[in-house]
Amino acid sequence: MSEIKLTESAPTEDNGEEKDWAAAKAFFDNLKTNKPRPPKPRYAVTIAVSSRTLFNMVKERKIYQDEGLEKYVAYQMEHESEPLMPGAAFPFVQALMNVNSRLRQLYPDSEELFDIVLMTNNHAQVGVRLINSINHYDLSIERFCMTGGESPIGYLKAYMTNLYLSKDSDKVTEAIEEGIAAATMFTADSENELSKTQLRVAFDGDAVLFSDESEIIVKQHGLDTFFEHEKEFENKPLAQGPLKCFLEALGKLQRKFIAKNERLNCPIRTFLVTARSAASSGARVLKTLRSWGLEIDEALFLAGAPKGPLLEKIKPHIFFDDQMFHIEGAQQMGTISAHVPYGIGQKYHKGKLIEQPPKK
Amino acid sequence: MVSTIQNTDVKQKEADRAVVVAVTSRAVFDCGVDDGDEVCEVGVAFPLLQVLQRVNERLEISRFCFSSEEDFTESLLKNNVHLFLTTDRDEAAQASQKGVFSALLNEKVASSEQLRVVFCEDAVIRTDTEPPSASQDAAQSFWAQLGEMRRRFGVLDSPLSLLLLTSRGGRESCGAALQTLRSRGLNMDEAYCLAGAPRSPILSLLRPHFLLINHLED
Repeated sequence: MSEIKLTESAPTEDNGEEKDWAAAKAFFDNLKTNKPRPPKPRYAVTIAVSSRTLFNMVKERKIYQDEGLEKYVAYQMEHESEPLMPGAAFPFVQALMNVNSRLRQLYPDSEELFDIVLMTNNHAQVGVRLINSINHYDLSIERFCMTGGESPIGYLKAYMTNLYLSKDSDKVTEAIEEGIAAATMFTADSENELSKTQLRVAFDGDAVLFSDESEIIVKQHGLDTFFEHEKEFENKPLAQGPLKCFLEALGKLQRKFIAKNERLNCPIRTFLVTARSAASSGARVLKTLRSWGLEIDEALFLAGAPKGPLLEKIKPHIFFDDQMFHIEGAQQMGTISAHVPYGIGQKYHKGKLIEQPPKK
Repeated sequence: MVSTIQNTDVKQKEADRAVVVAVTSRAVFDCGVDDGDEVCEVGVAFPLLQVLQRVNERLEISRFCFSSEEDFTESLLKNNVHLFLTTDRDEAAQASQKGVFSALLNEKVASSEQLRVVFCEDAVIRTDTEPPSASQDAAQSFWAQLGEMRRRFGVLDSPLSLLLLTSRGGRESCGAALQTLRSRGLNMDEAYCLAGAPRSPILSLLRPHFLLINHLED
């Protein structure tokens, strides 16, 4: 899984890299607008968002599907002065920007910040409208890749991405296979009012933060076997899942606030929302987190109850789960959700094995 | 002393309608230790020539120019070269000073299916703020022809792809560069804004055939 990046105490850099960095720093420091400059990638927590998660491009997508690429590009160019409407990842991006401004107040010289990158396989001419839209909302997005049709996966690594959000589940799956935390974003049916002062991130446990090893037991041997197994192996840490590194990155930034006595006022809060039950299978999860040196602010054990109502109360900016059943439940009650296409959960729907078409 | 040999197997193109590209022989063939009779290995520019062929159906090297180091720029100017390609940074700088638009050949493996041309930020921005020099006029003329060539192909499946790479400024610089290039008839296909992020991992993914940078100290 993707490694956590260097802390600022680590030395060694490439000379060419240093020159590029120094020039960019000078460029931004000399701007009259006082725009915050983007952080140094090797120390930042890099979040890559696609154009369709950042903005609502449903109408434009339909033009692409019905009328083809040329008409789609022409349409976007015709409308390039019209800002696009916010998409599923928009509130999340704004929350990241808020954390950055708090971090800059406490640590004005630090490069340990969120770095938001637009990663799209849109054509560069469509990019003009995207840039205009980003300008309109004054989002802190200074880095982007517009690959004109090529897969963005290679670029994700080149930008040292810690989390990738897209509407395209194939790209997300590819990213996860390459060891990059990634999820497919879904808009909510309604809109819960989200915090403007605190980034709130909710994670499912199995097959998201942890591997799917226990999920496999449930699916193949049933709940009773699962409970016995978890009790027996309570003290054996679970293997890590695709989003573990992202939780780790959030924890690193949280500790910076704690170090300045801002624990109660920390602008990042993390939640574990799991179908496990506290009594029978919860201990192993908490002990695993502890063994990794990770903290989660609130752990909510639902013992199989639906996640939707609880998430409605928590109001996270994003909720990660590996099972579409939970994603749909969350969506219906106003939570912006992100599907993590990993593990055995992909082969099941609502507890039943999905019939695979016979292989030719 | 310059001697020019015409390739008589090939029909010479009309000089004012064709894009004349000069490539140093050292880039086309890698001769290593000169054994006299041995056939040379293919050099760095070979994939480029193959891909130009795709763009152009039949790429014919119509003229061979052999010149000594001191006056190769004279021969470039005499032959009305629009673009001079070399892997040697000093050669490119020299030619550029004399008003010949020059670019560095990418020494790493480049695509042989699509001609990929990368415009680096400075190449775009500088020509707006400084008074036009001879090399900038050469640049403009080359770009105009490149833009026209690109327009002959559709959005998809084009054998020619134009890429913008801005390494220092943020999205506003890149956005401005996109619009400036568009106003000169060059619609970029891909755009990458680094804002100080390391350049080499991105360049190795872009697989450009050549990079257009006016400011050759980069």
